[in-house]
Amino acid sequence: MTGTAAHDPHDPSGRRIVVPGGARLAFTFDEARVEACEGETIAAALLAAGRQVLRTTERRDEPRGLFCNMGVCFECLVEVDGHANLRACQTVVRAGMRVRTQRGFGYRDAAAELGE
Amino acid sequence: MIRRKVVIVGAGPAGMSAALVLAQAGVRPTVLDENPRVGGQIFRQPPPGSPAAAAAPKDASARHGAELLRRFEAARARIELLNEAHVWGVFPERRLAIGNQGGWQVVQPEHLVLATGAYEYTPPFPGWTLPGVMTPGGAQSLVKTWNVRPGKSVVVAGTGPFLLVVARQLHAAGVEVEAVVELARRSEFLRHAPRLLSAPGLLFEGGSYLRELKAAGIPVLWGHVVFAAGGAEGRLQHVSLAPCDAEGTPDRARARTLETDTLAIGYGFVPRVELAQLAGCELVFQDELGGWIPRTDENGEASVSGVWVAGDGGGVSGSVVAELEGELAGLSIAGRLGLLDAATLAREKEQRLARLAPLRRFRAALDAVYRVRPGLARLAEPDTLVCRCEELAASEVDPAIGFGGHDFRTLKVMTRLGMGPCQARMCWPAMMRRIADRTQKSCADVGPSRFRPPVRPTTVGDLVQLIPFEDQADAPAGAGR
Amino acid sequence: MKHPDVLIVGGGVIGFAVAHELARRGLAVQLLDKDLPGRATSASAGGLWPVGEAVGLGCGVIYQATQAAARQATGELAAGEECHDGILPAPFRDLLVASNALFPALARELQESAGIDIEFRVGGGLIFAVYEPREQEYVDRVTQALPASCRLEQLTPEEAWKIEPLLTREIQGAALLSGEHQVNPMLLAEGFKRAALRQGAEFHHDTRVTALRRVGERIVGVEAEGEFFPAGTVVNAAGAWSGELARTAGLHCPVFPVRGQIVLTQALPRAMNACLSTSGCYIAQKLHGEVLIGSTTERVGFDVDVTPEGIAGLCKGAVRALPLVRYVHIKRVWAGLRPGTSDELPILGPAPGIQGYVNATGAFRTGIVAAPLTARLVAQSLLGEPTDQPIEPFLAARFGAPEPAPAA
Repeated sequence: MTGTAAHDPHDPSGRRIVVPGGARLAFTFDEARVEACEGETIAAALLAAGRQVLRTTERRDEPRGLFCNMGVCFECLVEVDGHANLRACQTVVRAGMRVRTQRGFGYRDAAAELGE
Repeated sequence: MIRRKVVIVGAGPAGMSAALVLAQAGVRPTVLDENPRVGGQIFRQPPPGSPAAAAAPKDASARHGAELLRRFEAARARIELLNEAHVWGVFPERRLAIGNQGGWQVVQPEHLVLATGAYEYTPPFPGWTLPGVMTPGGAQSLVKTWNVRPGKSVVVAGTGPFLLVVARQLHAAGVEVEAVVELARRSEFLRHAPRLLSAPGLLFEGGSYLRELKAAGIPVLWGHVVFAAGGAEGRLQHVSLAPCDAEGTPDRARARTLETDTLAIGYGFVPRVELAQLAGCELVFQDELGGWIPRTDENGEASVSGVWVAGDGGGVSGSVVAELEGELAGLSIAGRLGLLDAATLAREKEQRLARLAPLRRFRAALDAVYRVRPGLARLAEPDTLVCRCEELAASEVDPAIGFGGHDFRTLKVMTRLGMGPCQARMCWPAMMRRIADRTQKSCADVGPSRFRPPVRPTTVGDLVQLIPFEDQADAPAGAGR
Repeated sequence: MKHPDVLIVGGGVIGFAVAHELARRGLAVQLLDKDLPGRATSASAGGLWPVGEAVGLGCGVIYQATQAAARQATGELAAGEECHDGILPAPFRDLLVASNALFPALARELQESAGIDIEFRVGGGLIFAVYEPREQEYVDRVTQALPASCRLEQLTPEEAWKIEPLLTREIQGAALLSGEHQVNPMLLAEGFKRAALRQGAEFHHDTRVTALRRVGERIVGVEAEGEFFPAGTVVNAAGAWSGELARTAGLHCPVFPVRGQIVLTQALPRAMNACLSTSGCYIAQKLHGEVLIGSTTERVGFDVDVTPEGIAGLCKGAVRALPLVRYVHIKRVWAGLRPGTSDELPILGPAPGIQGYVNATGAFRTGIVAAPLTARLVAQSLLGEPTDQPIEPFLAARFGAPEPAPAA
């Protein structure tokens, strides 16, 4: 059950408990391609891909990751398709989704994108 | 605006049980839940097709949850269920503002059941914001629901029997559990042993977890506290822990360090009372039940007539109690609606209350052992963030306490503590205790935080678009995305 | 403190400003307050828009629109008919402009004496967005009515977008009031409070004043929590509640609550240079990045509930003016009660024929910008000194005797 699957292309970080079958999809995180299982959250998919830092903070520029994993703490905020402040632990991945590390308040260059 | 007889917020054990009782009594309750699938935090279901469910160890609680979910599914035709529905506000007369599918709607029930559950309590300590530090429930959900290990190794710390559950599940998932660090001291069990025997089944379950951990070579360090976490390049690498006194103050001279990439740390749970507060329900402070809770009668009706509270949202007592409280609220509402005759109602209620009594005695004994201690309020050092959202260090907030910021509103104005998106859920339970500790006041005097709508993420654009309230009862849960 | 020189009723920005002013003049000051939900200070945008508010281009636009809609609904005003045009009398404008001019020095003073940064920041001014010809006509009228000393500049859409690039493409033009700025209203009140405390003023929180005590033609103190608090002079700074308070001594101070609902967004990177005002809402980005969307103007008594309709209306107005905010998360919404008056002017100074009593109320939409000078006028009036600005236009006497109560 706890098979070491570090070599498995579907589990590059070896974080999966069971190497999943089932439907897969791909999205990007900071331009890098990430594979995910259908129905899982951004946080779960990124952690499975070995990506632990989801945002950096506004005042101290410190990294933050998953904390409560139930939508309460707002620590896992990421930018999704140009929109800031999405909770990675509550947002389900979709194929082709563009996810980015949120820097501070986010919307660093979205003002141009959204304001046209 | 849409009117409904009964709306239940939250589809965990309390909400599901309330719905089942009401459906049985002949009223079609509306259940709103923010997750894609019912179950709540404790019985959270993995997405369809995920191997996570099969991999999770089956204990008595999991089996019981599966049975509850099966009963709920069987009654689905008699229950109106809206998944991914976010109740972000309660306006006067029990009008609920519900965000759903990028719009919103207002629904007014005759009876509102708040079964909103609880979240974990983690008071600040140096290093607690490093990625890799998370709550035990957060780590549990990763392995149980999402088929992902939080890390290669883990230290499970804090207080409460839940730590044992999580340690066992992480171990089973192939995570190296370095230790379970438990604030309570083993000797304290003996003192409360007679009361703990009021629920022998639950006591036995806890004992079997301990034996399993022992067999796996996982040390359980009683009377210890994690007082710092450290790392480099934004990753957790080690945690510092030490034996502590009865107040929870670590003896740093006897400290030691464990290497690990994950720390799962939590000191019990905090009831989610934001909707109750918005509904105008009176809150009272009950430390042993997790802090501020709505005042209710024995049936769960709050100080606002027609608003009912069931489960951990009304005081943290666990899923077995939550289920009974949900049934009790459901029965009482059915009685109020004239669907149960007085004799049946009295009999059914009596049955639940009789089962609740020993469970509550057991719970009270547990709470006495696994209590939050004042030493935890002093773990934050000057540079430790005490408000994660606004990134406020203790050294920025403590002076404001000295200047008279002894309540939520004043401290918020003076420092911005609690101004962030979590609406003080993370900072206030700990800051309230820190203020109490520094000013020699009681938490009841310091007071609760003040929630404002929206208490669930809502955009300006969401509010522009009113959506029709669709009856999704006959659609599969989460369909239509 | 027994028998202070002055007892102030009400712990909003005006009450604290007056306490600070009197305490620093060496008077023994006591302030009684019960923290009631819906204080106007906490529901203020903190916009310092002296000219904008005096000519109805600030929050007044929304008030006028609401009033007109109400009158049309009740048949008092035929559709299309012009209602009261929102340009308030020159003495009021002068009061606001002079009060506004005190802010830079005040900010320094409160920082030094109380350690509070009131977040006074000079920004890009106040821009009124013109969507319709009717609004352009109004701006033209305002331009003519203003003296040269007031900076109002009419802008083409292109000029407006240059200042505020995210402003909607929908505008026909704009008016810029470049002298208008912002503070944090809660910190302003806190700053006055702390400075006053340092000067020896005394505050009693959780002390709800239920009545003035009148002996003959003199107010001798107040009743609070079943106790008598004697004082040399009582200042009525009870905001939306001050009319009720005055009535307990048979005094006429016609203040009514005007509810304002407010929406505050999550913090954004700097997206706005100026404050924006439209007939649907006003929008200001505060120092820490949150965008404040205000504010309804509703006469619904002392009801401080937020309503779905109220906030939806504000959000619609904001999305129209600044399409970017559509995607921004809301941090919180709340409501406060402004102390409204029928002529939109404050009520300051003594009550006719009454000793030992001074009004400091009726600030309506302008309590924040007016607070520094209001405090001075009230202190000067109380001490019998000449006032910095004429106080006569603001005396309660202008309302004459109370109207007889309508038959039940």
